[in-house]
Amino acid sequence: MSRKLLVIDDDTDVLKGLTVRLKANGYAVAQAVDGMQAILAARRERPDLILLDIGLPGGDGYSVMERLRSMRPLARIPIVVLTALDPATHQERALQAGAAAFLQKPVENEALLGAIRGALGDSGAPPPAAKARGVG
Amino acid sequence: MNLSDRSEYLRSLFHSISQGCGLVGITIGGFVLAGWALGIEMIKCVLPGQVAMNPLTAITLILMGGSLRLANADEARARRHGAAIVLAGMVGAIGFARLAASAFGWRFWLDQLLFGSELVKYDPPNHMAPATAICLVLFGSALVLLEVHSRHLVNAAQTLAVAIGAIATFWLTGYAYGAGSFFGIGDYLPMALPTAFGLFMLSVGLLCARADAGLMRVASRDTTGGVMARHLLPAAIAVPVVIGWLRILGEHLGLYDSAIGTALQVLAVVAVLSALVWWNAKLLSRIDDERRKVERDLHASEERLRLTLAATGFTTWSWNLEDDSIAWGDRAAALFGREPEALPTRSEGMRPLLHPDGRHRLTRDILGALRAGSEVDLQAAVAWPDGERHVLGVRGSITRDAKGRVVWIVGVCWDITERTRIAEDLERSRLEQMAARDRFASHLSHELRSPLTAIYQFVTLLRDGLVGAITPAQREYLDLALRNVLQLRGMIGDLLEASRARSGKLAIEPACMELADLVCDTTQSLAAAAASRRLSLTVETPPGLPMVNADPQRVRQVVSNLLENAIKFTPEGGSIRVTIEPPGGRDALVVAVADDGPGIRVEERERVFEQLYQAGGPGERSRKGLGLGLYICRELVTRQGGRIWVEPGVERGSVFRFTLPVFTPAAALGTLWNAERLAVHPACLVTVRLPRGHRGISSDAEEAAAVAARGALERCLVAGEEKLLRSDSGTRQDARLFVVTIADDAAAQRLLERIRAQLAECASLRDANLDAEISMVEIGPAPGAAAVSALSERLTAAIREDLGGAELREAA
Repeated sequence: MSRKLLVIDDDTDVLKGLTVRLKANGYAVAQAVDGMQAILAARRERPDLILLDIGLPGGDGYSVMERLRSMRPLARIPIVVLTALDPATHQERALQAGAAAFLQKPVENEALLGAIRGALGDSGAPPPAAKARGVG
Repeated sequence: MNLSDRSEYLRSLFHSISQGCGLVGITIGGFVLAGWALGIEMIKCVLPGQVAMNPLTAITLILMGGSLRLANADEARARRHGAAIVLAGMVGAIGFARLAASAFGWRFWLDQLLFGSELVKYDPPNHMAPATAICLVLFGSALVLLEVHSRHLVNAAQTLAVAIGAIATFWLTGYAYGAGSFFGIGDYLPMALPTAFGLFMLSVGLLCARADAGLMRVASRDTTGGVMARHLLPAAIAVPVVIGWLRILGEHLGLYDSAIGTALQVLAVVAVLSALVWWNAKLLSRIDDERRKVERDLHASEERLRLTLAATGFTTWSWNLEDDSIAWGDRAAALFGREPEALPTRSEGMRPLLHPDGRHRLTRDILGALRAGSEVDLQAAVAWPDGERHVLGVRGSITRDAKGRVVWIVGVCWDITERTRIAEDLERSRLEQMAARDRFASHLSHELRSPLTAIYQFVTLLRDGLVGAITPAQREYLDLALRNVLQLRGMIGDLLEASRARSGKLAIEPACMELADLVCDTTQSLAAAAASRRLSLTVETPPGLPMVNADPQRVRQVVSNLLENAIKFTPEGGSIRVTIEPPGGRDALVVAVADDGPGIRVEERERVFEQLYQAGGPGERSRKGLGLGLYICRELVTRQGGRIWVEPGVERGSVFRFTLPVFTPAAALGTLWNAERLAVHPACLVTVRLPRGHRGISSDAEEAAAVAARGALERCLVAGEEKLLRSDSGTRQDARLFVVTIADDAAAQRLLERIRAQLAECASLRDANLDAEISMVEIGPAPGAAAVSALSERLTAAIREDLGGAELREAA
């Protein structure tokens, strides 16, 4: 069974490149370019993993994460953060907000795929760990 | 002789006179008693045919002299003063008994006690004269009054002393004028000559005993009045007496008769007294002139000071700590924005004038200067009545007494509000600028990465054949493009780092770590890059290296950077060696990256570490990066307490070396690690172990949990008593956190409890299903410096063992 990923990024070129790469690796890919679309797509598609750029304009990235975490059926979906924002400022915050992993663009393909596999769990079942919520 | 010396001289002069007079009294009394014992008329009467001093009188003279001398003793010697009062009391009682006996017609037998047989040889039998008895009572009262330390009673005492002197003088002049048939009072004898003399001296002694108070005060002071009193009073007493005696002498010798004698006497007195007054007036006039001159000089000096201050805007102030009074210069009020009357004259009045922020620091600075310094140099923030904050510069000089206590402080103050404001504005704008620069670099780096990501993605998609098959040549070109994309990515990262370094925002978190593993790891990760250029890459790390206190991520960054440079600049087929040099007694480890490339010219060896500097010289690639890498390395190394430099290789190429401080508890813990505490309490090492590498938990989540645990621990520690030691054993090992404290068992147990409770509440740990293992080890205590250093080693070893140091190292 192929896993479904939801990729959220406001940069359409990056979105396209990611989609092609992920599809070539056997994943089904849904896209969203802003917060609103992201929530709708998540509800509709019920992906196995979400790839999110927290640098969405308007500070949307973090609020999307919050909303996702607060919506019961969606809260268990692991989120891998992929962003051009500086890890020194944002990594800890993203992880505290519930991200399973933090990657900085541009990220090597192997690293990206490895992080996705890791967040999905080796056997493919979503890991129970991805429930960290709130700030510790 | 200056002022205080002169007062001192006068005080000791009067003291000596008083002591001398006491001595005279004792001597006379002693001599007379000897005279009675040995039967020498001369001593007893002095003048032939005159009355002899009664033995009892002689004894009282001795007592009076002794009492006077004791009364002159240092104030602290209470016993002496008590004795003086007792003696004086005895003397007064004797006199009073004598008078009472005469008044009530009792028989006074006391003065017949000694030498009774001799006494009756005289006609009438020798006894104490009533006049003498009166003087005894006066003396006793006077001395007792003197011993009571009251200003008013001193007056009374000195008046009594004058009375004694007057009585004695009366008899003395009588004897001097040869009043042959000198009468007594009724049946009673006149006062004997030696007695009169002795009493006179004792009265002088009494007057001089407390010359600084009462009637004598004016005579003992260093004023023109004092000068006059000291010169004229003795003359005023002696001159008429002497002249009177001369007149009587002349009459006896028949030189002139009574009337002329009187005229001559008057004339002589007038002449001598006028001469005395005139001479004294001259003296005083001269003294006055001198004083006026001094005053004029003083005025001139003050005027100069006033003009100087007016010109510079400084104002004087002075604070007398003995009576806590503050005096202000002319324009001080303006500095505080108030009226001159509103300026405080006592130190507690200063409080409302000071601005609340800075008050504590000001108090602290002042107290510090008062405690130890000789100068005051500080800034004071004052609040004007309208609330505005002004800043004053304050400088002053502290004067202390012989015991080191502060007597007074005097200095100047002036307004530096403008200057401080400018400095503060400058600082604020500097910080704003740095923040702006940081935001700019952040924003820039962020914006550059997005398009770069897109480029990377599409180039890799093409290259990997996901958009159609490609020819080898196409692949080659795409690889070239990819290489440049990655280079660009590195440069963007460097840009942000360099900007952080410049604005001081590089995050460096030292931990105790094993250097060898990290170096091997990092080198390993670049093995592929080296291999692709057919470069041989070797790592050499001696065994048994101590741990270092450094940020593992940053060390990795530095080593990678140096290796990347070496790989970039060493021509194909060359070799790169990475070594860690053993400490050899230094308190730092040295990491060396040596290549056999073209090397760096002498004049460039310093400059390569500068920002944006690219060493020139031939190379395959014309573009060599932004030139920020080594600058960042230098910042990272120096911020961790190390040094970085480059030297030429043995035969060719370059060797880049950098140092990192060896981990010691003292260095890592700072003031917490103090020998005094260690002498009493053991060092407690609490180890918190967070397991890693569990299935199903991403390393990021584990990292987040570790970070959260660290934060939780830091929050529950008592600053200054307990300290968190970061450590790094590589990602393969369980994460470990150490807490060190020097405390007794009870405190250590409480710490354990606190840590357990805090970690139990840590949400990240719970969510990651991580159970922290907590253990504690106590080492010490360690009395003495040698024991402390042994304890340091044991603690380091304990930490190391916990980190699994021995097993970690694998063959590089």
